Amino acid sequence: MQERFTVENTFFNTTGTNRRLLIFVRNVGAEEANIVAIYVNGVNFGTTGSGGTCNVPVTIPVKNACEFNVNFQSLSPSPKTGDTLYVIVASARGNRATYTVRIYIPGT
Amino acid sequence: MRICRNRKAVSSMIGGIIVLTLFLSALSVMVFISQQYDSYQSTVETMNRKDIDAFSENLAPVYPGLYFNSNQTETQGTCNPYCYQYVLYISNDAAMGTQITRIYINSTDTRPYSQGAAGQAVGCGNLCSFDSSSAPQPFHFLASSAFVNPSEFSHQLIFYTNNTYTLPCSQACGAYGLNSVAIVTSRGRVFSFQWPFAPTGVATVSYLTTGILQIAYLGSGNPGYASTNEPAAVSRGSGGTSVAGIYCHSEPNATKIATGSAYGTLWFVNPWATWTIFKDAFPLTGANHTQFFAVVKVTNNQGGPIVITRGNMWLQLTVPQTQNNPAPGSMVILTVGGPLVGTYYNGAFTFAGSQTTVASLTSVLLVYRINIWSWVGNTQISQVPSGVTFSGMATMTNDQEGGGTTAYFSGTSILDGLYVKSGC
Repeated sequence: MQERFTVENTFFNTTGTNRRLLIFVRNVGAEEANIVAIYVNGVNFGTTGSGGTCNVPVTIPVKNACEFNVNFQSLSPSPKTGDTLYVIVASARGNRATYTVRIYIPGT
Repeated sequence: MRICRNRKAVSSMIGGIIVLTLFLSALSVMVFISQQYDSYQSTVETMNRKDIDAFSENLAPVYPGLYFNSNQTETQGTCNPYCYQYVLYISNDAAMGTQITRIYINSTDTRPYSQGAAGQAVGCGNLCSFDSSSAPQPFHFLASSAFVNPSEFSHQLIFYTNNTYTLPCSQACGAYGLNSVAIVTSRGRVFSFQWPFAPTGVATVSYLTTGILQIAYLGSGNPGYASTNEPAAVSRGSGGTSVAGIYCHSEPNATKIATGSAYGTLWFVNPWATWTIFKDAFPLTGANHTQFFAVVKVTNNQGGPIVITRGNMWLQLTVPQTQNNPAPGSMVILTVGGPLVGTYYNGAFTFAGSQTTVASLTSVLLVYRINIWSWVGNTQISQVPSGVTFSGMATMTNDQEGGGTTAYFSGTSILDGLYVKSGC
């Protein structure tokens, strides 16, 4: 009930063949948030690679933010500019924050 | 007998005690449950209140949005040797204070803050995030300026980059929307805007207003944008040499319209405005085509018409386009091209001399309508069946006023927009 977290920003890191999405999650509730899963278009990717400050599962203290680095290259069909990514960040208590973002990949 | 009477009294007392015990037990349980419920309700109400507070937040950027001066550097704190200082101007339209916890800036262009300043071409192309700091620090904002009072107008939040990062167009390059700024509050709200702000009026001589939308162009100046890379797709501003305060195309054949006689080249640049009156005034015929309209402002009626006598390429003027006796001060709209298919880039035009004059130094505005097509850059990505028309506008998501054909449209619809000028 006192758990509140939001996806406050996203950023594409699509250099070369990279297809990574940085997801910034902030705990704005009154209790720590235990993030256990991140879904992109229904697929639980977890977090991979460098560039992020957190990997799931992770506990975000109150008022703090985490940066997750999600590699969505394996999405099928292959993601391209204009596609929509529907991101769900889920906590152990069953709460979730959602975010919708459109892909922009230079050259695609 | 006495014993019997005493026993009766004992049983009554025992019974009373039992009843009292039961009553007290029930009462204590009720109190306990009540307390638990109160605690639950209190927590629910507290969180609801927090949610309401969050939804009540309302920050809005105010002109100039961001302010930057290359001489405005900070050497204190961890700014070594110095940091560039920016000021973010925001207003709090809510009746409650708001604490800013982070700022994100993403630049879609990495040109120098001033196009004439070499060596400063580092924008936040890889996303910059600014956190709170009690002292000046690269990529932080001052904590002392992070709280925006209720109903405070034009609050100044100070933040710093390092001594190499400057945001594109920090010093009036004439473009706009090159930086996406997101302001995150402690309650979890995000307020974002594009900077520099899009112009809402014409810089020099005139402007057009239609309904809720003002259509504008940047007027005279020292154009520095070389169009030599066009019509190949180029990033907005690339290929430019210098800009003094404005952005516009520098066309070798373009001339300012100083009298009734003028000629020049109209260019197809990215749409950044909509003009829906053309949907009514000039209905689209058929599918898969683009219509173009030239718009000039009339200053003097000499008894003659406004005429466009010649065109080539996509202008395709085989018959002079004429509007008789336009009233001074009016805006004249002439069809100059279409229906056409595909991408068309530029074409020459001529306004006949000795006719009704148009405003001195006025640029020719070209208004376009695109039916059916959907584009990414200059690549057609989809086409709807012939005969199908759409209402509503496409969504512009990138480079809203760039040069060349780097516009990124999503969706298919009728696009009504302002296109080109000559004689910047």
